[in-house]
Amino acid sequence: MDVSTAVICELLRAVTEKDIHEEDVISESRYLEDLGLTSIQLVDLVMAIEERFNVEIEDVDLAKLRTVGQTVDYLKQKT
Amino acid sequence: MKANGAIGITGTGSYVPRTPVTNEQLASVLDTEAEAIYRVTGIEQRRIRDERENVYVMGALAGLRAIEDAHLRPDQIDAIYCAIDPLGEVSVPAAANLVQYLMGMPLLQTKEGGKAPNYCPSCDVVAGCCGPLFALEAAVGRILTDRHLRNKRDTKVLVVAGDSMSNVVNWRDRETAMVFADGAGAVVVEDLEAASSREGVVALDASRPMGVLSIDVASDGDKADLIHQFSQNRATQPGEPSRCEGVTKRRFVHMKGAEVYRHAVRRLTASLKAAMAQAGITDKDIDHYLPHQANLQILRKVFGDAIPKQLDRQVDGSKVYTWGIVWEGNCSAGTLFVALDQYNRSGRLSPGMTLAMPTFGAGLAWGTVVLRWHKPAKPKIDWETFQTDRDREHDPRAEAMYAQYLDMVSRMEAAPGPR
Repeated sequence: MDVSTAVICELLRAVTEKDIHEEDVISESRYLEDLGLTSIQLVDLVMAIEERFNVEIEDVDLAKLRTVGQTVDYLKQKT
Repeated sequence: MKANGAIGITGTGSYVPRTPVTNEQLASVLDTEAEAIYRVTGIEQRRIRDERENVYVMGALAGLRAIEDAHLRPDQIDAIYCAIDPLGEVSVPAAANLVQYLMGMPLLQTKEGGKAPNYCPSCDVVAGCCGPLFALEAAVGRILTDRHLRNKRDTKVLVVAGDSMSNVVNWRDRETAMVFADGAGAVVVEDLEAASSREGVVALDASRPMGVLSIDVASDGDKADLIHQFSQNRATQPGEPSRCEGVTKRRFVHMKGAEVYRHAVRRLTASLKAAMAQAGITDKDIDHYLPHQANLQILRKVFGDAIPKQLDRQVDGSKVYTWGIVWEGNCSAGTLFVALDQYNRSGRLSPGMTLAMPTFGAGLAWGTVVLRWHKPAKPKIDWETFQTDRDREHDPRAEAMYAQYLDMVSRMEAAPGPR
């Protein structure tokens, strides 16, 4: 599965039910502060990522996934 | 009646505190807004105990009600398993001993006034919110042990599960204060063929399996940090003063809410599937889901569209029970049997119905029991009427039990040795 900002954006739209456009999201976009996710939506995003990429993200790794870019890099290593 | 060795629940009981704590009341303490509390948890109000409604009193009242619902008397109970965590109250002996004592079992008398104590074995099977399932499995095990090793087929086990989470909640901690509550539930578990000798307890014939169809339980100690509470005590060496001395700080329950949410959704979903597969059924066969009332967001994630977007004060519009979390909060080990008791007493269960009861909590521990109901249906009562009557209900035994509890505390405090 191709890991990209576009895929993360697609999952963000599904989780938040908001119209999040790819051009508004950069690698440094922070989920909570910049994209306005609630903590529950962030967990929903992590679960959606796990399902989409068939990976299990450990609790200790959650703190590393604060931005879209961090998530893409993490998934590239994992998959 | 033939029951093919089936084991099932023949009585239910519960007790939740009468006083609600609303989001408005909590919002000022937590420096937030009532609407924000509802949005995060789905809770409108939670039930918090008063001084007299301690966990032993709640457990004993729930236990006596379950025994009555099974058309039994306390002298007929053969064993008690309690899923009650003392949470800062009496750590030794087991809560089950105090529940047995408050139910009056060691002090029972004959009609003539002679002693007729019931010294049935009583112990705790504690596993956080999952305790009722572990204790239920222990009860089934006890019945099978009696059947196979003691040639006894009429064993009656009382399972009591509940918690007084307000003992350990820090009211300034949003992660826990918004969610937790107090309450207890109980069930009587029996061999159904033996129980059918009593009028009005077993209504279903053995044309298909009934009673407990499957139990799936599991634990992950690697996630022990996600929900935890330290006691105050620590090991000391001879001559060293107790580290409790002078300690007045309460040890609060702590929860990593976001991580718990993720694991809860994952484990509850998997456990439901495992228990249904074990029982040889699918979700189409389930009449009611009575899940642990952890948090509405968790339940929405697990059950999806099966929970209506707009909830009202009724329960009949959905297969998934969520009323408890909205109106009573999360009383930890208590919620499963409280929900079952409400459905039984309000006439929402009839013979042949299949129920799935998944739960998840500290441990981490999780599991599901699948039941096929076999008790005769009670008259159906409008849900709001049922709940209003329940709130008005005054059980005079509560005061007597609390007095009995205080008497035991004074006896404990009379034990020799410095304090």
